[in-house]
Amino acid sequence: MGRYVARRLVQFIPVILGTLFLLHVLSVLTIQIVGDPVRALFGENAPPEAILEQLRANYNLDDDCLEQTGNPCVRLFVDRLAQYASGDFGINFRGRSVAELFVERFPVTVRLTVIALVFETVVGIFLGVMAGLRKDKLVDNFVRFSTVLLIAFPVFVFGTLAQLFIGLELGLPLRDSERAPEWLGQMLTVTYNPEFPWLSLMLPGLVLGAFSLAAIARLTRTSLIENLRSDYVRTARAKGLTSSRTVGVHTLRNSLIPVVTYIGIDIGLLLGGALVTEGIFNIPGVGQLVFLAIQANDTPVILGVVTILTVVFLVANLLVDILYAALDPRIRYE
Amino acid sequence: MRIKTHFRVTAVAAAFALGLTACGGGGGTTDDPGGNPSGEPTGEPGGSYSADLTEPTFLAPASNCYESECSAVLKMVNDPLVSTDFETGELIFDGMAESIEPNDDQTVWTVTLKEGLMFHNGEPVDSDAFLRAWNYSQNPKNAQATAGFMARIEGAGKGPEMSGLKAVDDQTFEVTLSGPFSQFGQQMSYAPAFAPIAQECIDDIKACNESPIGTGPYQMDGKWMHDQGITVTKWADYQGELPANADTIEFKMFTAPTAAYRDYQNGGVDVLNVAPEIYLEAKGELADAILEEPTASLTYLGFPTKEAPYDNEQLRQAISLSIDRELIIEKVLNGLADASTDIVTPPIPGSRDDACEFCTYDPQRAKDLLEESGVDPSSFTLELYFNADSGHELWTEAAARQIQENLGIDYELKSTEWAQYLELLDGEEFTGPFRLGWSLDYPSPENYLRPIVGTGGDSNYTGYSNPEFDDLVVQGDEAATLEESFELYAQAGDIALEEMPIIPMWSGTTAIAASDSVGDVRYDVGDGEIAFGEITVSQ
Repeated sequence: MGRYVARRLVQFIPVILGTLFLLHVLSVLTIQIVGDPVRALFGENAPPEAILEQLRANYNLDDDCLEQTGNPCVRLFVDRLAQYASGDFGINFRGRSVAELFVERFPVTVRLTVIALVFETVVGIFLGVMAGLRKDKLVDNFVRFSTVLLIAFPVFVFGTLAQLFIGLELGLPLRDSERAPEWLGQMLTVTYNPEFPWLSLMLPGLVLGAFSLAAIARLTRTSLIENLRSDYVRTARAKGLTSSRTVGVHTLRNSLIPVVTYIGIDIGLLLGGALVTEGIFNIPGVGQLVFLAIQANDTPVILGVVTILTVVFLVANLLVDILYAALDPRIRYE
Repeated sequence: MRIKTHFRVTAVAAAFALGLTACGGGGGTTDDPGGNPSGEPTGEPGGSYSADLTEPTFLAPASNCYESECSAVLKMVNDPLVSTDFETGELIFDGMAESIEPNDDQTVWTVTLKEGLMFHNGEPVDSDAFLRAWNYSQNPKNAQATAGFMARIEGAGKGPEMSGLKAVDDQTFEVTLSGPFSQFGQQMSYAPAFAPIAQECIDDIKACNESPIGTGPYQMDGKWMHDQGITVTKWADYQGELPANADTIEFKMFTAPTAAYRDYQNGGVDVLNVAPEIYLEAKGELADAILEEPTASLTYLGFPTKEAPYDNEQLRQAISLSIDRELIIEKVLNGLADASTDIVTPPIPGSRDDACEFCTYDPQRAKDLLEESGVDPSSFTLELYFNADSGHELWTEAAARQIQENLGIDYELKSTEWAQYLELLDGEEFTGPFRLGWSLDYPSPENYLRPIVGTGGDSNYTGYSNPEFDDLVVQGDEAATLEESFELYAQAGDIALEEMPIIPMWSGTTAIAASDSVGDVRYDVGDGEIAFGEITVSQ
């Protein structure tokens, strides 16, 4: 186990380096093809050239290679690696530290991720088990129909509808009302409210988790149905085990392997920021940070944040792989 | 020009989105055309309200503020040095200056400050505070966004101190310009560029940016919560004259205009800039409760005047005559613009409503002119340039189709990213008409004419150069009275409108929604923002 983890950790290094280099080349090409991002900070009338030069120097964008289209600017890449290795992720175009920006927003995204994850896992697995155990019955048909519906709706449609009908039509009277408890009104919110850091993320969290909920329910259902037919389940039944023990211990646990794989990828994606949901509900999370940085061509932010997110994604997937062993006794890591 | 960054449709791009600048409106209880800072609020002071705002670039030093969002906040936190009356163009001494006097040839300006002014932290606002700030701003090492404003002062941009800036005593300082300039007083009414700075602020600029130390009616309440909000509250010791009605103003930031509008519906925002994305929905729901007011922003098409066939004056006039501005404004821009009649937009003093002979829609005359010009419409394709993703797609195509229909010239639309657009501009590489916008730095016709069509103007990308025009603008700069200078600027404008290196299209209109709990909402043309200090809260 220890050796397995160590080997995986070593594998992180080429992945991170590769990601960084790819991003670096893309950002350099963008500058070379699209044009100078420092000049684009200003409007039609350029400020004095001396100012632009100073700004380019401040943001490490004064290298000549940035003017030669196709040049990968390896020297800049090496400089950046050294900088990152020392824990310095640079500054954005407004002079603020990228690491600081990330730390400011990460807790919000983590909260949103936790809400979405708990919701999608608990409800998703529950629905999946119900449907799997009663295949082709009413419950199963209901789950299959509703999950298709959830998957079919793009998140911006779903989010906007939830915001309009739950947040505004239903939530506003509750918030205005004297009798309704405050937490209820705040839970059905329209936009993120820093005074209610968990409650006002409830609705966005549910919207965000809805798609994965459908996927998890379906994965659980299929996997459970398949395993229920297997020999060892028949043996367990023949031995006279209660059906709750057969399902709970002998079937569900190993049926969850595809589900856990899915959740692992999902954690990585969710922590990377849910761009659309964060946009709809005005949540100052990582997704918003990346979105704004892309719009502003703010290379230091994009590179710094994506690097951090790559590590987060890798760690999440490592945890999932370790979880496999806990779920299925047939899997061992040596 | 000052950049408008509303909802971050790439830095500047948003500024000219649909020509309506995606931004604040005004109206409220006055029918004031906007810009007259003397409109007295009728409500009682006190209370608090919230308004939407896009994340500002910088709050300190003020000289790093060159867009509408930071200037909206700084307007609350800082007193201006001086203001300009939009009706007459005269200076109003409602800020920190007691008087501003030029010498006879408009080269040496003496600024006298009012007695007893203080920063929020108790430091005195004296000549040194201004020298400190202006010298910091002009120094290229500090890379300040508004450093260009200092360019006319002798010795600017060469080192840590300008030779043209001298303190006479604690209350008086002298500014020597490198040439005569009658509009320098008006220029100083762009407050952020000419604000003083406290010693405490310059000692720790990073901390000051998070919580600026100002001189104005409001001070920061807590730190700047980036991308979330900024709260300002009344400063108890304020001695100045600027209106400050509400006790507390909370500015909230939104990533998407729709989110801002939902929060407005929810009662979370009282004053909202109605962006083009949500205008139709908001208009349908709020109808007349939306206030619409003219802004000073100009949208125009520039010609590469050195390229054939656009070097032909009559062709340029014909193209202008073949565009039905009113129709485009009504159908594409939801009526949120006013067709141009001058290069200088209507809210600016010295603007005229009948100056542009070729800005009307007259297809027959356009055809005649095209024929006279000798240019064969089938011999070339009109390449029309605009920057992508900023809401210009529809109207540029509409204009191109009208040109095609009326003159028989085929068109091709060309769009690029903003950064690339700027490179093409700076290199004057356009091979056809290109879309641009302009808004004021200070309210003077000179601030439109010289940068856009003057030889070597800051925003002159047409290659146009006419010594006669330049000469008239310089004469306007040197004129002894405002009236004379406006007359000379108008003569210069006539030349540009005859030769048409640019086609003025329209000036913007802005829309704003205000909730029932606030009153006296007005759009300030000079700031390009709502006059937040004047807003009253019903209690």
